[in-house]
Amino acid sequence: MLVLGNLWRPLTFKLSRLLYITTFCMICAPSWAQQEQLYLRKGPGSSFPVIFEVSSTEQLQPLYLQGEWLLLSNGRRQGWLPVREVPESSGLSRAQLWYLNDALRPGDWHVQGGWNSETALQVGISYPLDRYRLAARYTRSDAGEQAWQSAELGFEHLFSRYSGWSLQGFAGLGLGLNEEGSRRWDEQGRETSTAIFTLSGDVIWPLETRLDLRLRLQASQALGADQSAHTAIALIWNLSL
Amino acid sequence: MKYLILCLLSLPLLSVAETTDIYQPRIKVAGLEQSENISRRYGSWGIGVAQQAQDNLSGRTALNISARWFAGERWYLLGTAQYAPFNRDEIRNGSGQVLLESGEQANVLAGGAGYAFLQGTASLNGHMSYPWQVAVEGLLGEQYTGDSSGRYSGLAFSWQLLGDDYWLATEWRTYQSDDSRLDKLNVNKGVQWGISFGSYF
Repeated sequence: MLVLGNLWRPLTFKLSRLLYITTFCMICAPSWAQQEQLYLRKGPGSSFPVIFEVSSTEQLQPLYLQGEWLLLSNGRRQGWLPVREVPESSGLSRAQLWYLNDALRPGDWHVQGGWNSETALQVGISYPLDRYRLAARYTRSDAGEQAWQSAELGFEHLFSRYSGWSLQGFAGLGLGLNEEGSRRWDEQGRETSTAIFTLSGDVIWPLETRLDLRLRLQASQALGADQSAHTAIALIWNLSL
Repeated sequence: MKYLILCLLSLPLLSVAETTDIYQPRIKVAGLEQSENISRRYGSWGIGVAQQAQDNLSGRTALNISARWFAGERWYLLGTAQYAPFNRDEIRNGSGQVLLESGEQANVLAGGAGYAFLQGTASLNGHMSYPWQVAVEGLLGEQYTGDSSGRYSGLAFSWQLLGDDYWLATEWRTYQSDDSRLDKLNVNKGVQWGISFGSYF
């Protein structure tokens, strides 16, 4: 009995220690599993190097939001993290997280600018109306003595969207102004104005969340003056505000 | 004593008023509390000097201001205004007609887009490092020279050192203007290099 008693004591001690460790692991393991490492970078871009890492449960202070990147500080160091990777457990309030996600959403207004094969500068603005976008465009060419300008109002419609690009059309009516010396809408080069009808199609490549590049094929028909038709190819940058 | 009795009698009325069943919602204000505010950066602005080397004219120093609006991680929109002397001496043709008056100015207003194709960090002392980027910029605008003007186009490469509150950049740009008066004199093209300094907004 004495021998059994001497064996029983270390056995129960080891068993109780094992029980403690198992219980500790069962309690702590889920919280360990939820922890992730956040890699903070030196600048607001994925090409800047990672400068330090913190646990996703570490309390972080937001300093600046620039585009889709947030500058965070843990009190000792600071680094940039994509807003989409900011965890809910990082110490930011619900209002701050809502604000950050809302800031990523592209706005309704679009502004665009570019130039076309007729050496004309094109600018435009559009706003969504149900399934269409109401768009206003202005084009001006002042190359040498061939100055002319046009302004159009119409609707844009997104026809199809693919993985890396999409197709959009535009139809609009407007006014063309032929300045003296230009033969765009008057063969004699006289100053004149005419109503115009324009159709265009855009091939759209997204460059960033808020910015896309468009290759525009357009045709406009003068409804007055010499009733001439003009076609052009344009390269347009479009920005969501 | 009678005031005390009045007060005691009015107490139940007060408590009834507090427990009214008319719903009185607490006013909540959307947005961030003052202490939760997160500053947002939309772009940067700066001033700079540049040395211009113009075809068939002597070199000169230009002053410029610029603003960049961050459209994303690498793309930005760019606007710039530049003020520079154009020529010192008068230029006449063979028949004595003045083609270029003395002391004309060349002022440029241009806008465009930039793309940062290289990004990294640089350290000056081994302890602190700063992010930098190299961007290519396309510019289109108008150059006003004396009494004439023409479309200005430029292609630039810019190395930008990005501090927390300030930035510093060096730039090399090739440009041309389609001003027919300058084109006839073959003084409508050139290159410039310069340094700019600025902050964020």
